[in-house]
Amino acid sequence: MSASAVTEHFLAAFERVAPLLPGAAAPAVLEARRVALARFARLGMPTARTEAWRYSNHGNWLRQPLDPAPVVATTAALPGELDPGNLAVTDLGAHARILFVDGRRVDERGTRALPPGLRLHPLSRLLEEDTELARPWLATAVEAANDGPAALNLAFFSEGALIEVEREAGAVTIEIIFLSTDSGVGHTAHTHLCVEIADGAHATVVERHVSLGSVESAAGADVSRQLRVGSRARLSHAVLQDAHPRLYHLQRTSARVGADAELSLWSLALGGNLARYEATVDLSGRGASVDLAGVYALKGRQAADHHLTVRHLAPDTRSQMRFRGLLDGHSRGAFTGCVQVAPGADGASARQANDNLLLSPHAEAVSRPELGIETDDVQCSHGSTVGQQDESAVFYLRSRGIDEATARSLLSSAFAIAILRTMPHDGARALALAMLTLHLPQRLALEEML
Amino acid sequence: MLDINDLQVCVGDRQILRGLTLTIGEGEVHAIMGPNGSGKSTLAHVLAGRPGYEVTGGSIRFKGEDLLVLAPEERARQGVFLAFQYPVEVPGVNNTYMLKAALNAVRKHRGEQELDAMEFLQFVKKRLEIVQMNESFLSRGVNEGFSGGEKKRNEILQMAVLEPVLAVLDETDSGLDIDALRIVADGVNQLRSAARSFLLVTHYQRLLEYIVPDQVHVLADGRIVKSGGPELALELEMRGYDWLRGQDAA
Amino acid sequence: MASDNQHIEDLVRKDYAAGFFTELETDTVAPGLSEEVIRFISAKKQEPEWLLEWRLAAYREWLRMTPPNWARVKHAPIDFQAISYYSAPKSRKDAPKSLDEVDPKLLETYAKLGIPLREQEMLAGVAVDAVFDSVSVATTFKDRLAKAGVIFCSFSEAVREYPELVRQYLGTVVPVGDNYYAALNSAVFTDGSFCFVPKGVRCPMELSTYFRINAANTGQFERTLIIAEAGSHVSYLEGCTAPRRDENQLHAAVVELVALDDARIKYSTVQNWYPGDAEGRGGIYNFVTKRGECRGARSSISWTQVETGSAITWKYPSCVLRGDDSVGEFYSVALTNHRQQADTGTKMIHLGRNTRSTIISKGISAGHGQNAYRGLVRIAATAAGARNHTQCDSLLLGSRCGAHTLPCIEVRNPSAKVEHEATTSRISEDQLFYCQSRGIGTEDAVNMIVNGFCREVFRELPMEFAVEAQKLLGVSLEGAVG
Repeated sequence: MSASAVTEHFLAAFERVAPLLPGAAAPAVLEARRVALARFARLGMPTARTEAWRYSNHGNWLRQPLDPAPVVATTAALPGELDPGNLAVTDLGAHARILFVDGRRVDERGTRALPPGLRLHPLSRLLEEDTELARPWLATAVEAANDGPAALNLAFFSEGALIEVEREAGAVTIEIIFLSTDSGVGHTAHTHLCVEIADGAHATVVERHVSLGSVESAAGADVSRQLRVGSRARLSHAVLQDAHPRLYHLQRTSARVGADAELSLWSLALGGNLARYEATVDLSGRGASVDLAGVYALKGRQAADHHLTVRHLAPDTRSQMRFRGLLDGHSRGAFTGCVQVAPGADGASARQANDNLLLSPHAEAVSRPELGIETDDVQCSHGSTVGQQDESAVFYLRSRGIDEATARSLLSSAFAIAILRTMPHDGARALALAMLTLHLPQRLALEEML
Repeated sequence: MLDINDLQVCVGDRQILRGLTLTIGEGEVHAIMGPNGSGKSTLAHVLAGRPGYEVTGGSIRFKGEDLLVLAPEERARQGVFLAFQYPVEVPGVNNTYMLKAALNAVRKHRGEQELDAMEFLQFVKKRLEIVQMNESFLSRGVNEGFSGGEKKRNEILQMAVLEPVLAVLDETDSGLDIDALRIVADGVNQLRSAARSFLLVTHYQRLLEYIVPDQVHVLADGRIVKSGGPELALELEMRGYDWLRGQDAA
Repeated sequence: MASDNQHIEDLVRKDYAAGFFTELETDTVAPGLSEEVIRFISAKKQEPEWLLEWRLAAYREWLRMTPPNWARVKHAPIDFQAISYYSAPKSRKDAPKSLDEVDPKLLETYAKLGIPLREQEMLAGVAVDAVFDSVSVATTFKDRLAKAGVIFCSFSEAVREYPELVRQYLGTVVPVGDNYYAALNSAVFTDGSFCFVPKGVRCPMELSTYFRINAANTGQFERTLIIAEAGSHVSYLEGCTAPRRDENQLHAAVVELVALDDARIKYSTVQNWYPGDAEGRGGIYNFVTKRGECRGARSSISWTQVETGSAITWKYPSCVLRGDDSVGEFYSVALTNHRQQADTGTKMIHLGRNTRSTIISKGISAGHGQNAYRGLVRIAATAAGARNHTQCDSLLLGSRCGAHTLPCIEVRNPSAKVEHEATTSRISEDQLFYCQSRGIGTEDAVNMIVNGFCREVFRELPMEFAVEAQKLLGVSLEGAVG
């Protein structure tokens, strides 16, 4: 399809599904969706020449984007074989668990009672019943939708959640599972998450994006998130993704971090056909800090494209980016990390590191670590490397009797684990390491390695 | 046990070893001394099978078998151990994990039962004493952030764990202060046995005060130019390597 | 919008009033660009038919293109129809009669840089009737070069005397449609330098445009072509440290370098065009395309630049490393003060096996200056064993300036090794205090520290240039600290 045909297609699709979308009867909701749609009509889908999407031009996605998933009853019953208990390789000890199957929310049986100060609102219900609570989130989402896909998410999302954490809840863990199944093929499931961590509150959100069974055709998952971290609050957010290889997996996160608050954002990208992870973090309060870290380990014809922007908007803010890529087969891993220090954000410090190992003659690594500094009282640095395994380390291990394949596998996992081992949440860390182990060609006893 | 005959080795376009011949019997300790660039470290690396060192002539037989056809890991499993001059940092790989993987690979080769985690820990604790290391070493990444002395002690610990038949120590004394040198030398002396041979590669005589060799060889321009007893090292120390310039193999 | 329309209407009216172009006085065309103007330029220069066709092809490409908008520079749209694309050597009558008529600020700068009076006159464009010393100097040089077999002449002369060489290489490194400004240059360039170093010859001296400074005004669209045949060496110096008087705001030069087997080209630039005043009025737009191709095995091309002038600098001296074992280097100091903007960097395109490149970039921002490093390191699948190391540092003086680092690394070969490091910081209070406690004034201390920051680049410059470049930084930084 041509770019204009793609645009027309989605405009028509919207008219068809709009009456069925949650909140269709609420003028404020419909208005937000229409504004987003108009934004999309103006911006269109990115093309191969759109700078920010150059390395996301993968498969047919840009030329033949998938239709939004049909809107059906928002709450589906959970099929027996999908019992979340069966999914839990590792028990995260979560205080709450939300399950989405192909973008639809599934009610779980046996969910524990929520601790006081932790509130979960299904977004579909909020749009229908509590528009006032949803409205400010919609407003900021509209504001943040600065490209076609972001606008599409807002126009079409039919499900999601609003998570509110008060200080009295204590340190809570919320687990969100996104499951892709065969019944999602041919469509893109749009979901939207809103997370509000009140002043002084402390939460961990772990998202697991996985697949059930083998999926033979292309499907899409598109998640937008808004994270607000209040003063002195702490949020650790991790996306652990090992989806089926036909999935176009798109995510965008916008976060605002208040004074003396700490945000950590993690991305483990193992699966999918295309895995795109965007994050824009505003350090808006004095002393705010963010730690962005991740690993992409790809093979076959997979592509991963990370776009991270941190804006230092207040004095004494700190940011750190640490991303590593393990690229095998015909895969491509791209990293764009952008640190901006605004005028007046004195005392900012920023560090950025992106390291890649190319494991195959057909793999490709792209690294773009960018700094944009508008004041002089800063300490910023970045480093990027693309290379291969250290042959002297391979020899060293072999000279101790370890065979070459194991030695190489060991070094690859060590390269990735060096990042993952610093994940703050014990359960999330164990889960991330388990997922990585399953993914690597030689399954090593990682617990012992650590 | 080790028979090196007329060994010729090139690195890139440069010939480093030019007909080196050396025989080490069971339980013997030999020292190879020589000025910088004489080929000492090359010999150590060739014995361990480092890629990039091309053997263009001669032979190395270990326990009667051709050593050169073996991959580095196969040599290790047969009992050849190289203590590196510059032990490699392997960030993220835990010391215990590597030691256990290495030991079990060797044990498997010998047809012995592999050790589980508990058994291994018992086993390794005793070896730690040999190099006066405490258990915290085990939980660190391999050589990651180790001081020079710690790295060398870690090499000796690995040797103690793997119990090689032939241990090649490549300038193990370099960069060590006197205390560390003593610990390393004591470790080596404890591991001396009738079934284990050593080849000490060193620039200085200092190490040989602590580990007394059976034979000393002087390497120059890729060949052994003089051999003798421990007294040869002292003589070298006094007269310098220039003394041997121009002399033919003794 | 209304003003845009008005502007277009004005243009249309102007065309009607003046026709497509008019010959004013003797040899100057009226402002405006068209095929006729290009035919006029080509005819004036008595060019062969193929070169006219080449220019016209470039012009047609240009018409289809839009000005680049990706660089971090801001300026009002350039009215390309307001530029006069040909003028014969400036008549003496408009030039200042003596240094007394020259802007005293300029003279002050010359004095600080220690430039001899004679050269000051030349640089300021004073009409000097006497045969200038440099002419005879240049003649001596020409003899020596001719003896070695090196061709070094103006581009026009090369087109007349060595048309086959020009035809063989022109546009092979920077194709006519490469980018907007290169296309414009290809269509309308008036002169420049040509250098050909034959097989096995080591050029006996540093070549410099300085030698022919008294030659005809090369104008704002300069074209340079340097060819180093197998086994030859050449070092080329461009520009000089003194600010030169110039009335053209837009400069869009193209430089092409070709290095064959084992050849080495070293190209050094000191760029100090008028930067505009402290409020950002005036100043040169320096939009340059520079690219070298290491076509032969083991060849090397090295770019060194010290960019302190111009209101806007937009240039990315690049290397295409096609030959196996070829080497590309880029050493850059870019300083922006007051309202200056620089968007500069390099591209290293690794195609051959075991190709190596080094990038060292030092950006200094002061006042309201904006400084961007933009780089691309691309390792193609064919470039087994390729290596790149990039070090990219920014220094900020004052809280109203900006430093931007925008590198891109693309690697498609698993045996390649690419490392990029960058830092951004200000001069540390400790360093300043240390210098001050040794009796060094603030301004001198800043100069010392800034020069230290740039030393890795300065040491790549020919010695006499390096000394001048250091002085130049000091002069350019005046008023930046206080």
